[in-house]
Amino acid sequence: MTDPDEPATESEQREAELLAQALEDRPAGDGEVASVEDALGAAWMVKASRSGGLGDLRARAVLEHAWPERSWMRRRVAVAALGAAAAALAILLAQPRRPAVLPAPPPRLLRAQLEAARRGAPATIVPLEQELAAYRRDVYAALGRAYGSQR
Amino acid sequence: MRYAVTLFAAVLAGCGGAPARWIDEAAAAHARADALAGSGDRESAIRILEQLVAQPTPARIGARDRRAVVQDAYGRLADLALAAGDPARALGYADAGLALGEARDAFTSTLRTFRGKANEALGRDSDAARDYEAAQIVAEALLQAAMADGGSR
Repeated sequence: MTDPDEPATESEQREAELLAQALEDRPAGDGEVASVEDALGAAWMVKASRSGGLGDLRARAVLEHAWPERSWMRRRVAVAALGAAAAALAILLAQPRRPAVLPAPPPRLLRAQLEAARRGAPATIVPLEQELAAYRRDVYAALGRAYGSQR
Repeated sequence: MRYAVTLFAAVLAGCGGAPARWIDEAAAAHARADALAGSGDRESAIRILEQLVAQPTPARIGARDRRAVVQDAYGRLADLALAAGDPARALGYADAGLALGEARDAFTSTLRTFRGKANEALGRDSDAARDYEAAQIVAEALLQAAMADGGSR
């Protein structure tokens, strides 16, 4: 151990001088910094803590601490917004559409029905079946247009 | 975030195409029934159409459109059953179709016509007469409306 009452050695005096220079932001002499790296590091830390401002390291640490929280909040907001939009869309899409505009039955079909709807007419009537088939095609075409069918 | 995007995509995919798919499947069922009945295989045609009427209807299909599709299929089932010489079965199909509701349209008059034919074949003349009368009232009203609109088809 060094006795504190003894006068400083030349090397101790030189280190103290370099430390003082670092604290006051005065450039050190060439080639001398390497020998007192510990002193410079300590000086930088002392200065940074004294300044009270955000140094690079502290700023980064603060950001790293704060950003996950902010990112988590943003994700929550985004998920909630998307969920609400999906729910609204599902409700909208679940509503029945307005009915399709179905074609009016053609007179030929109606005449065939009038012919068939009487006693004694054959149990199956070819003209009625043919007219029904033609009307069915028109009805499905209208339904396809209304509901976006691919057919 | 991924879950929300997936949910959103699922909602879009799940809800968008169901009505169109149902319409396409119904039209395809009729096309298959056409081919089967044309080749004399009425039973297979009936099975195809029975599957169609048993299918659940997408919620987005309008009630009137649903009724049109299903009643049309029941009318065709009744017609096929009559052609197969089974009026009791035809009566069941016609009743099932009419149970969905009656309106002043061709589907109602068709079902009433085939119901009358089934009742007539079963010897229920008064029931048949009522069905024929109901069918004629609707068909005549529609015909008058069509002629007033200048329809010539």
